[in-house]
Amino acid sequence: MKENILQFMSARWKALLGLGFLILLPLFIDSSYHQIILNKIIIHSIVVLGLNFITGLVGQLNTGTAGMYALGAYTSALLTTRLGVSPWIGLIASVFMGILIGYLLGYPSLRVSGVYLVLTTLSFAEVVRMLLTNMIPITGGALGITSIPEFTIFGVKLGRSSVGFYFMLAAILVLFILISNRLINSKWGRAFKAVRDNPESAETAGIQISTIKIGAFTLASVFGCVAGALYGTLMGFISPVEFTSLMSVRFIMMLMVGGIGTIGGSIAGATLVTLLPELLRFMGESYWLFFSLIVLLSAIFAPNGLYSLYTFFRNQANKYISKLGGKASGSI
Amino acid sequence: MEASKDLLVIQNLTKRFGGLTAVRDLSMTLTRSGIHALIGPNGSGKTTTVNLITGMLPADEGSIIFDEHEIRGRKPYLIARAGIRRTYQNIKLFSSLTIKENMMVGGHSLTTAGMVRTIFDYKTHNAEERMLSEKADQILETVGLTGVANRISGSQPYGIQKVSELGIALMTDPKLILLDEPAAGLNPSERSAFIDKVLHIKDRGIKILLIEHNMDVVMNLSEIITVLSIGSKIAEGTPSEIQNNDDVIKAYLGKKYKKIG
Amino acid sequence: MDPGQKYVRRHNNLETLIQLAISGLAMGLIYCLVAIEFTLILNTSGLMNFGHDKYIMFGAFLFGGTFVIRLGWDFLPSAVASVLLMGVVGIFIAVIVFSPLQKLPRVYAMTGTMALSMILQEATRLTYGARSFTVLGFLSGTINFGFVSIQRVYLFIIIVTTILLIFQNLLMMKTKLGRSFRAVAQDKETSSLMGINVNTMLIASATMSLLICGIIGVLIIPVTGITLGMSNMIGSKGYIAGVVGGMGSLNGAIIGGLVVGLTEALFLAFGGNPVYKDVVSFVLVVLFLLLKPDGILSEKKAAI
Repeated sequence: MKENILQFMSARWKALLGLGFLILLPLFIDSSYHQIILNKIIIHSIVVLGLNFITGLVGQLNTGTAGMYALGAYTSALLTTRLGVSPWIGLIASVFMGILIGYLLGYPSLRVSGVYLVLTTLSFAEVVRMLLTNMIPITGGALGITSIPEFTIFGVKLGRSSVGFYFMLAAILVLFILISNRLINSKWGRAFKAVRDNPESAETAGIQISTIKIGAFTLASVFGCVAGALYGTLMGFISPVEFTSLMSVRFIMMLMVGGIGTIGGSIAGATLVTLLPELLRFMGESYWLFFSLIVLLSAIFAPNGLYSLYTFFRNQANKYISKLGGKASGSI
Repeated sequence: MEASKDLLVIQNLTKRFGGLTAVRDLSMTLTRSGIHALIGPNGSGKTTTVNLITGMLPADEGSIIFDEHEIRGRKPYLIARAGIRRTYQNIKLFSSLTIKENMMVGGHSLTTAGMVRTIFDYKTHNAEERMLSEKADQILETVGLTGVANRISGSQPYGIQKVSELGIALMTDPKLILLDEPAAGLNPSERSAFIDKVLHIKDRGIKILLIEHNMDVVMNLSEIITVLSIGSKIAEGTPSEIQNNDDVIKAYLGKKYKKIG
Repeated sequence: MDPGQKYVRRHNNLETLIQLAISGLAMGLIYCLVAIEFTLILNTSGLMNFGHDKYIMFGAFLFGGTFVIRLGWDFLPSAVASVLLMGVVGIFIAVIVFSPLQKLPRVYAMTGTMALSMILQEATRLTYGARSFTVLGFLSGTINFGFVSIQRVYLFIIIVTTILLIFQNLLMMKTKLGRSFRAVAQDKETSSLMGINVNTMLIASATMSLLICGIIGVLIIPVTGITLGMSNMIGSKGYIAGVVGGMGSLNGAIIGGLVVGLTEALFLAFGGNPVYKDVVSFVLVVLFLLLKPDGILSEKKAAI
């Protein structure tokens, strides 16, 4: 009983701590350059939270995240710049784009067992980039879309590096965290993991595998598209040139590095990889090479990324606390 | 044939893999209660038959009628929901989940809320979780695994994993459970504990189709035994009839079980 | 595009059709090779060598950047040297990376191969610079057959790839190595119980795979130029060829590659806009996944 209360408290404390941190963070940001990086971290976290469902929990590699990101960005950007619609509508439209991609791409790729999703998402991202570059009358081609409008709340414009925009992004992140948390700690989370661990057994237990897989993929797609739309408003300018397979790989590495399957891991990974160019600035041109090397080594030796570091320290702390407390008591 | 009496009626079931006929023109009937054993030497088609019944393999010919409905050709998850569950010869647990979570996955199909509802409808989600949790607790108690409920299943000893599979299969209150070599790999005390659980399940009115190599288990547990050899049924009857059947002895049993007199 | 040009493009005379057939066949054969090189590794280790297109790119850079431009060698010795070097790289990668990765769960293993391809790409970028270049005079120009003039590179591709495919087929069917490979492809466990060293097979396959990637890289330079992204599309289409022909099957790889090449050529022959050529294969794979996911040959379901 006591153990349960402590665990319950710890989840709440964790959330409160995180929230407090999010709220106070802008105080430490001194330049708009850093503010934009912080905003990028939030947007990337949203992508990785989504990717976590299909690649982390269900274990099917999604190599076309850049394609979803791009389509979300373009959907919103086109609606707001060409049709003059509010960015809020653009955001909602990107949700629907995400659902569309989820079903249209997910259904053929995930209906049968096997590694087809890797292949189709790879081609999908390439085709998206090619189409966006070449359908010039609609998309403006390689020149991209400029002057993407900022969000407005109650008549107040939220500038790209403004604290207001940051809080809006943080609020959206919190929303997605809540959604992820609800799903992971529900029958869906268990079903995702079950399909990954043993699809045959899951099927003979009465679970419709394809629905689970397509559902996870659609979540990734929706999260990715929304993040893309937010990205468009953050940068004010998008072009097909940036949505490369390198970007897709980067998102996967964010997931892997942080530790797959968990919300904290997803955010940690997004933070680290987004900050990487800044942190490894001294390495000049070779930082990405260095990072890929680290990823390769950790894939072989420490697959669970930063999260396993976290659990390691947490377990050590627990042991220390129980020693102090004498009798076995709760955990951190 | 009194159709309402029989739970599963298999007629002329055939499955080929290229040039090899794994199951040949198999017909067999399962009544609504009790334990029916399916035995035969390695490669005789027992596991293939189970895979055909559960829908994991498509049959080439024949029919499988469960509870008066044709299930041949139906998707495996639908067959499971219709009331047929199984355990596996080499255990297929969801190794990253706890034992209790494994159970709750076993009961997943009892719930109806979609993903969107789970996210936004607080009440329904909580009600379903509670239902699954309580049911899992019940089953854990039935199979005696309450103590290890929160341990990660992949790290549990073999015996516990085997029993967990049984629990997972019970979550949907099936009408028929197919046990694929449940005694394999268990030491004698684990085996007798397992047998007790199987008997308990039988007493609850659940039909059991038992595939097993261990003859003690088979002879002591089952009312009817069907014997396969190289894909065909060569004998069917009570344990004593089978033990005295020359064809069976020739193909499989060896002299040990031949009754004298 | 001005109306005059449109008219010329749509006016499919015989010469254009023949040119399209030749280029379609040539690219189709390239796709066959790509499908084969990743299937080799897939069958012996269960690993999807994600980023296999970067090896093709690396082969091209080795040939053009190091041997021809930096060292000033002639084309043939450069080609031989870069392909052989790719083979050596294959041995290293198989031992150091593929061998440990194949034991991991699929997601980690593929991330590992992905990281490896990133390393390769970055190493290439740092060594050769990010600008694209090409090799002058290499397989350039056209040859005239009466009224038709065909690009030399396509003819060369057709000849070289056909020889390579015949050679590879002989290897698989007639040699001990080939038989061992086919055994491992069918059933790794039984093969190993029967005395076949599965790890040696992995190293051999990886070496063969990288040799092929090197050859592909050299061959496509006149078509794509030497850039960091030169093989992205070709890599995807190799995968698509694998799905279309039947995942995990070497014969399927050949059929799949030809089907993809043919479909693209047909698309162009019927007046399709060349810019959208790449969408064709994407549509093709989606159709196959919906209607016949096992592929044309359906020999083997996806090995993983």
